Amino acid sequence: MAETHRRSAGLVPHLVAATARSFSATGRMGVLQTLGAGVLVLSEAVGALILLDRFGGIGGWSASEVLLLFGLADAGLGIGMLAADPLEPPTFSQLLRDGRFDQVLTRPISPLLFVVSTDIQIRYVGRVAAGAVIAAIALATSGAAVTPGAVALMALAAVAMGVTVTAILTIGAAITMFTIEGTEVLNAFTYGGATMAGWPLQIYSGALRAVFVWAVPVGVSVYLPTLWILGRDGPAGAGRWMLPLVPVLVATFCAGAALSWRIGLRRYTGIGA
Amino acid sequence: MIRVDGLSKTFGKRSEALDAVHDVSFEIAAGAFVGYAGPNGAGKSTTVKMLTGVLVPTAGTATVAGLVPWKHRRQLNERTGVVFGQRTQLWWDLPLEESFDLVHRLYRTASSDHRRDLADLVDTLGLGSFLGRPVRSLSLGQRMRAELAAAVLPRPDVLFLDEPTIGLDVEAKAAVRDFLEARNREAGTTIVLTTHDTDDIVRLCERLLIIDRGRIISDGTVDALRERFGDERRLVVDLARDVPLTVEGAVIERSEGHRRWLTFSTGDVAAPEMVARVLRAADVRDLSLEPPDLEDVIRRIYRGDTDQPLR
Amino acid sequence: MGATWALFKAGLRHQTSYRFAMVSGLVTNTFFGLVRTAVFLAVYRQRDEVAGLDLADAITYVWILQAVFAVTWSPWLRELPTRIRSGEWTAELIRPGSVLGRHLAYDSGRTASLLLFRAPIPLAFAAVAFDLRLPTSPPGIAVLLVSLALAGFAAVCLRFLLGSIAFWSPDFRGIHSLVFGPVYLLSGFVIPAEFFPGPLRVFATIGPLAALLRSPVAVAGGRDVAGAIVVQAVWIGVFVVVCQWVLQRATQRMVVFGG
Repeated sequence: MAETHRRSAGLVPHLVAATARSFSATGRMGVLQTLGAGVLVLSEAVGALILLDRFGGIGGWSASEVLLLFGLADAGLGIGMLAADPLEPPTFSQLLRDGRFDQVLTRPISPLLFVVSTDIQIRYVGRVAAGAVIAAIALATSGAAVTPGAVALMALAAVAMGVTVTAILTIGAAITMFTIEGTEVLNAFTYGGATMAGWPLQIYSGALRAVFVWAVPVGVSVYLPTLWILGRDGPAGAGRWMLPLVPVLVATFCAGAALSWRIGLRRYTGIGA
Repeated sequence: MIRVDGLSKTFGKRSEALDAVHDVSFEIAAGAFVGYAGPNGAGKSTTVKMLTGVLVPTAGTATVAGLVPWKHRRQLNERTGVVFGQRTQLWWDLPLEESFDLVHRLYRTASSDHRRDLADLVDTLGLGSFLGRPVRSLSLGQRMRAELAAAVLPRPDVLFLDEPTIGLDVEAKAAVRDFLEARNREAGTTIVLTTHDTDDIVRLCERLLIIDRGRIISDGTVDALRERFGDERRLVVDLARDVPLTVEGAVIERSEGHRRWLTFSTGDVAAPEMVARVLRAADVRDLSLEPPDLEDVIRRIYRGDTDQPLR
Repeated sequence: MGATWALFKAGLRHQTSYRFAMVSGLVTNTFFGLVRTAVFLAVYRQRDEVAGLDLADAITYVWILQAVFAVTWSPWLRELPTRIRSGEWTAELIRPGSVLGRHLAYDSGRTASLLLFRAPIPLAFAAVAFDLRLPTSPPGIAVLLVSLALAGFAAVCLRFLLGSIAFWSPDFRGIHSLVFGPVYLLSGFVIPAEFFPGPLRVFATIGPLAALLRSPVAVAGGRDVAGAIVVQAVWIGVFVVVCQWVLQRATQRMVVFGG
């Protein structure tokens, strides 16, 4: 078991490199799609900026402070989609229905790693880059101290968000092994989660906030590190003291996702397509 | 090499359960080339999926190369090659040679072996002209040759092939068959071939298993099958006019326009006598006498025309 | 006319067969609505009115947006260009009657089914949960329905125009994704059209993209109802003329190049 996992992990750089080479061969379309992914994030940021300018901030936060969240959430979503786009229900459903997943199961490798590393969508680099640029500008204009610590916290935020999104997509794939037909519901947690995490958590009602703090850690993964960067404190239930909980919550959520994948796989190999 | 005992697979809930595979047992020796035939939905793919560890059976046991597939899937996967017909195991957007390189890393074959094997395969399968092209741009024939190369690169002990010649043109079919034959003879690879194509079976398989509605209904050599129906003959008759035709001792299997297909047994009526009967019965323009072909034999076995299973 | 009606009904049936997708789409849609609502509830604590919109207008905007979102950015956005590139669409050109008419009728049918099954539920939910500014008089409701239908038809035209890029360029996916962000922003799917500054505001409120979302939002809120409908009607007229022109050019091109 550990042996095949090590091997799977060793294979990933080669798959990534090979995908990157095939992407560069797609030429203009690939470049346009990557740019487009970035332009979409920028368009939404412009909208948010206009809104915040009209109202003079939100929930006591300035426009720069909010855009820091916004950029980090989008960069994190981009990282997650880069890591696990092939698990998105419609794509994964297609994989199950046309029998390619059966083929994957005849390989001496972790099927999860195999599926995600085989069809990496480089265009999400555009989303990550645009998110990072927005976050960097926001940090510089927010008045917060630009220290190595702040940069490290930003990286933590984006990575924690990315890992959470990957875990959500894994759960989605596990559900798809039961339903076979893909479902859009998971978008509420991935794209919806990123949209939500782009605004300060204090604006949401207690129930909504609790779900995205304790159940699906999209809410905290970006918000808590940002509180420390800005030297602010959050509302009850999402205070800055909770920062050390971020890795714990994310890891727990990932463990749940891994378990769901195993259950899904057992169901799939037991029942068949 | 393969030992299957009482293997069963039931899909669905108890009320509407479907016995996809029911109490199937057989053994396949190392180095054998076995055909696995049956009508659509008979349980062929389900069996192969269980033997490759993709599906867990409801009951029964099986070992492939000494391993229980659904318990030691990944270990077994290193020793088996699988080609699932129309589905690709190659990386769609990558140039073919990159796919081969990834297979090499995936199965951790020694670099020197890999280079030598690949050079051989490029030669025997004629892959040279499209090694640099992405897989999605290959023709079906090119892709199937590439799939076979990828499946044998890790030097598997057992090769499971599901319809490897479907949709191929005559030339590509011949190339695939030649390759499989050589692989079985020279490398001693055990090959299980699922197919609808009786030419594949006649050309390649020394033994044929036939499954229908989840049960093995025939197991024997291809020659034994032919012998069993050896006294069967078919007479193709072109009539001068489209009139009804009845001949004592013969069954009209098909009729199309002026043409009639008659089958009869030389045990009951000698062939010259049957020809004479036909000529008496109608105004005949042309006729020809044919030995039974394997496809007929298999069709008759599906229909249950045999007095007893051939096992 | 009979054929157009038949195609419209076929499109309607085509879409209603995806019930599972519709239900899951509704859940996602409602969640996005809740997030957007939370944002407006928070900012309107600081101001009572911005650019002529109060809180009720803003919440109404959010839920009209949720209602027409799937209609505008329908899941089959890429179907037409993909069929054009594969050459499958060429068969359309040799059938009798108006090529554009048939396409618009079928796509309108599919769009109508989304409007019928996806739009009312988030709106009804929001009408119960929040203070919306929706018309209550029968004529008012009728005008809102007309405006929603016009928005759906404007989206059908826009999809055709976006799809027709594929007649000229194999990179349509790239071009689509590049124009999507700005179109999404300026058609008012990020913030209400009224919030934009200067000339952008003029473009977003009476320009071609206003037909998609801004007009039905204005009609629902009872702000400049007649103007909003006129904007939709005029631009749809322009869209149809442009669609016909684009199709003519594309057909000539195919005849010349043997597409």
